[in-house]
Amino acid sequence: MKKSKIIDEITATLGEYVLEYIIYLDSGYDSYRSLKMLSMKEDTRTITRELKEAVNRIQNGVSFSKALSGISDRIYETNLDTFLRTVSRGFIRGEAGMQADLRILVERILYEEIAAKKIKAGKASTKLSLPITIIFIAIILISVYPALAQFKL
Amino acid sequence: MEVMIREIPLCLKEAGLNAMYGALCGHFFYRNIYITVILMMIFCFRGYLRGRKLESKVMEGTDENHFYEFLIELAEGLDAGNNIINAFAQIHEKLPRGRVRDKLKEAMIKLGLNKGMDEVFSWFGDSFSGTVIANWSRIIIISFNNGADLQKAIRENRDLFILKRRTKREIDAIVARQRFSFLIIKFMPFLILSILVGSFGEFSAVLYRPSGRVIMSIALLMILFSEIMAETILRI
Repeated sequence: MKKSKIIDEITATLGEYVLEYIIYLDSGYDSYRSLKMLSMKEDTRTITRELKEAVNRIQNGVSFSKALSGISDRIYETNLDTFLRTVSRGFIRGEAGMQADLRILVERILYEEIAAKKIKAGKASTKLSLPITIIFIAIILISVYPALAQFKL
Repeated sequence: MEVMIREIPLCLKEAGLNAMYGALCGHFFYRNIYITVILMMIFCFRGYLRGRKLESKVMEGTDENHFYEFLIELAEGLDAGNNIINAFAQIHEKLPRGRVRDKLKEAMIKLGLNKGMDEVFSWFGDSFSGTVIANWSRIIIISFNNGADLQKAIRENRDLFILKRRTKREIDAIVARQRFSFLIIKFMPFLILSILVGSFGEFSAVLYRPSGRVIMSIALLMILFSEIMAETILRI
């Protein structure tokens, strides 16, 4: 998959992950267990894949923050990076206050997601001019051909 | 008295509309019954496949909306001081008719039969596997088992759900507007052709001779290509 497409996918789905993470924290799970729960999602999204890998690395003895920063090294997206940094900070210093930070983050992510979609929708009207032009060329072809054929005769 | 209106399945609707479009293409561009029938069949098949895809998307979207409504109502029910089972009992009556309401009704019956909350909710989630609903059901079970403040979590996320839904509707409106304007332009060649053939029959007869058919085929391919392009652009 193209890098820009991966970033688009992350922008569109990260909010849902952070929301879910907050609820796991609310349920009394710690950072690591919440992350593990997120990685257990049954889908093929990039974030799930990356989280699965990070959890595997942690289980193999790699430090928590190193495993998470590995994700940011591979795919850099500002909000994803903020999320991972908040999570690893929470793991080191304790989860107190982490939910509040993440709630602010999830709101920002959702607003960004909405803005990105609105921009995309706005761009679509401009992009549509290309297929419309092609249709007009087809119309010109149809209407001009009989005249040209007469001229040849 | 409630009247059940059985709607035509989306895949059949799409197949029919596309078959008509194929027939129009065949008639206007080739004036040949065999080509018309072949194009009709191809377009009908394409419409059916597209309808099937749309059907599952629409169903998933409707289920998701109903489920969000369910969560919002659940939060309000819990706010009012009901316990979770009483809150459920009140909600499923308020929800719009659909899969979520039916499954909730079944869940209520299961709860009434003294089945565990986690068992009922995992059954509920399994009925919508691979969707947001399945995911949320899993979260609800975990929250319930761990004694978390589910009410607080739902209340805090309620505004975000509403915001998301509102934006989705806004974008849908933008896309629908653009789709409709493209639909009008898509039918312009047919209008031009009918005017040409209707008013200047002999002049335009050259379009249906072998050399003209090549031009018509090129024009039709261009129209179909632009349609595919527009579909890709409008997929937001």
